[in-house]
Amino acid sequence: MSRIAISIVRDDKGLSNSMDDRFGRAAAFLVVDGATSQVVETIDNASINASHGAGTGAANMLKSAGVGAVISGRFGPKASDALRALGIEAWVAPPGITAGEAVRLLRDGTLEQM
Amino acid sequence: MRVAVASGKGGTGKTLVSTSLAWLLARDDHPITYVDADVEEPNGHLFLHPELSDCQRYARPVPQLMGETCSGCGECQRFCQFNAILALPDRIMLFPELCSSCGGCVLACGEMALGEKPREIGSIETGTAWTETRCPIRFMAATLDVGEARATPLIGGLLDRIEDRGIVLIDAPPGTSCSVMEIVRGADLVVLVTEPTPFGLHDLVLAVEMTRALGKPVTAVVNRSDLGDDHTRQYLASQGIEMAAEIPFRPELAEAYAHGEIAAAASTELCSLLLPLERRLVAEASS
Repeated sequence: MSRIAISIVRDDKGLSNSMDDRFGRAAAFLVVDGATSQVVETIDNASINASHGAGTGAANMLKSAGVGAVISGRFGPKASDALRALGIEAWVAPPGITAGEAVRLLRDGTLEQM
Repeated sequence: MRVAVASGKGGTGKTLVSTSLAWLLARDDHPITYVDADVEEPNGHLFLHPELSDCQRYARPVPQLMGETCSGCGECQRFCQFNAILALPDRIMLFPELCSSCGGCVLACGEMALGEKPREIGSIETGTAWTETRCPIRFMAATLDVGEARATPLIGGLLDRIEDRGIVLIDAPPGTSCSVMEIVRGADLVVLVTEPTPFGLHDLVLAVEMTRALGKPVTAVVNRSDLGDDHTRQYLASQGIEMAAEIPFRPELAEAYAHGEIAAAASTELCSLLLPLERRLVAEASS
């Protein structure tokens, strides 16, 4: 798997950041290397204040960043369509966990795809 | 003469003020049209109980792919500010509910791959309210379809259908978004309904700045004026904005409203409080 993105509520604590349960309105995305789980970068969500279409905007942004899979708590219907069309896997994680735990759950095979 | 009844904050009393003003003007024999432009949750009909004579579906243009010429180059996506177009490696994906109907994507496409088609987004109703006044109230309202994200084009369609005879009172949605600005920019006067609370003041400031940016004259109605604090009045004074009316909190107003009655019809006190504003509208409409 190439790069994995996790929706996060803030962007200053690396893998200890809390996951943001919302995909389109997440504050930022933490991008980790799919092979090593090392943090590659964090990307601010440019669509967070869009009046509509935050999910499609965020999906497009992740595609440009070379992301192949994203973990979040909830994906809206348009975001799901956009991610599917862009070939980005969307994984649903339980609320209240950190970005690091989300990656671990994905590795353990306990997450379900949208 | 078009009068926009707007507010920053929701729930301050736009519909109470606009239906009451409509009722007062009709009672005093002035030709009046009430337009419910709060298309995401119209409620003026609950008080005016209009007989509807016409209901039309409203459609706006959205892009559609024509033929097989799209290569997925993404020029249309780069133009679109509303995330309504997603470029894929070999084609595009359209989200018409997010489209603002600007038509820019069609112009931006160098492959002549995009055209436009109509998309129905809501309904526009017209009718008449007979409210025990001698002069009837002409009634117009629009309702956005559930699931549609963009109200502004429907509001534009509603405003286009107004016949400008006498005074037109437009009950606007709350806030300061595009849908409110669509109404305010065509108005001759803006009545901002507010309340003396920190939330009321915070959103009032935004609404005043919006009307100023659009260069519109503004007057204020302070509802539930005997509750809260004095900061809203101080702000209005500091901005030189006249207070057209102060409506104190009265259980009988809340009661009448909860029963679907026009507040002014149930309260002679409210009638006299709104009288100066009514006179101003009549004077400005005839000048």
